[in-house]
Amino acid sequence: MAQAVVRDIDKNDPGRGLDLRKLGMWTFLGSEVFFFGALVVTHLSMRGVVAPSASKANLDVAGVRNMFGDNVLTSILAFILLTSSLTMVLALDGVKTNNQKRFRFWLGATIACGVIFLGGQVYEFYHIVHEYNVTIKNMMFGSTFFFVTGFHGTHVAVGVIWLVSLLVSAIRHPERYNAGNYMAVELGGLYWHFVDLVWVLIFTVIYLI
Amino acid sequence: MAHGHDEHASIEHEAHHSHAKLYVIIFFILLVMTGVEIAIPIINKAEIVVKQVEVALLLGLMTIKGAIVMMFYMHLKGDRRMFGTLFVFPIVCVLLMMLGFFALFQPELW
Repeated sequence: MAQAVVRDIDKNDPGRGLDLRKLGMWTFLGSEVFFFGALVVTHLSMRGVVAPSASKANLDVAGVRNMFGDNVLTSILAFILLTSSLTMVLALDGVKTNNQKRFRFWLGATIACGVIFLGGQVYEFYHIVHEYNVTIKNMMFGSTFFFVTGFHGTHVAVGVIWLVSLLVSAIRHPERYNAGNYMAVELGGLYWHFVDLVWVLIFTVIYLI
Repeated sequence: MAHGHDEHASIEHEAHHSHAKLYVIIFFILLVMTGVEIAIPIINKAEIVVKQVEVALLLGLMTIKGAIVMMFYMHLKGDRRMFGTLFVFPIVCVLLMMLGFFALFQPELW
């Protein structure tokens, strides 16, 4: 039976019509959903926890809300990441339509948005640590907050490096990516949109609720 | 040279139709939804509606925004169903887990 199944698999098409690179990417992103999900629910369960020791700094839910205020900075960051999703999909559209100039321009814009987002996040962390004395060590809220948002920021940084490598490659070999060969760009785009998707979750659950 | 021209012609032939306009429209829809999301907690500072309604609205908007990004920007709409299953199943699990944790640890929001 097993041999029959193995025989039925076309050696030239082991993915049975599915692109294996894309399948691998979606599987990876699916596993990342569990990863971020676990981190976010840990934050949800810990953010209101007040340490029993009075000597420890702490924040209850009301204190967290007061710290974030009207979320001006994070709203700007959300806007930037949302814009980067548009620029990324326009970059992919550019390569699919063989418009190299448009592809490179929008890819560069996506990278710029990613760098601005990272700068904003560093500023936010600095602000929270120095003005509210919330650190990764001194309270449960800080531990889980910095871990979730820092882990997301790390993903953004990895995405920026990935897109920079795509852009450099596209500049050095102008015809490498075109309407017939855009899978590398599509995979980079999928990762980038995933990073935006995670921010949609973090922004709502951690900052707004 | 002729070979180069043929190659160019074949690339031209393969070129896809641009969907740039659709992507920009989707962006503005997402932008408006994000604006509404930001406005809800600010408007509801005076507790116009109970906290539970506010949370439900925010989670609903978040889910719709996520679905739009997945369908149109990640191209799950029109792509192989296998990819969607691989990605959406974990999301459903996480959303259910999140609701459970809200109920357990943030009872004032439930």
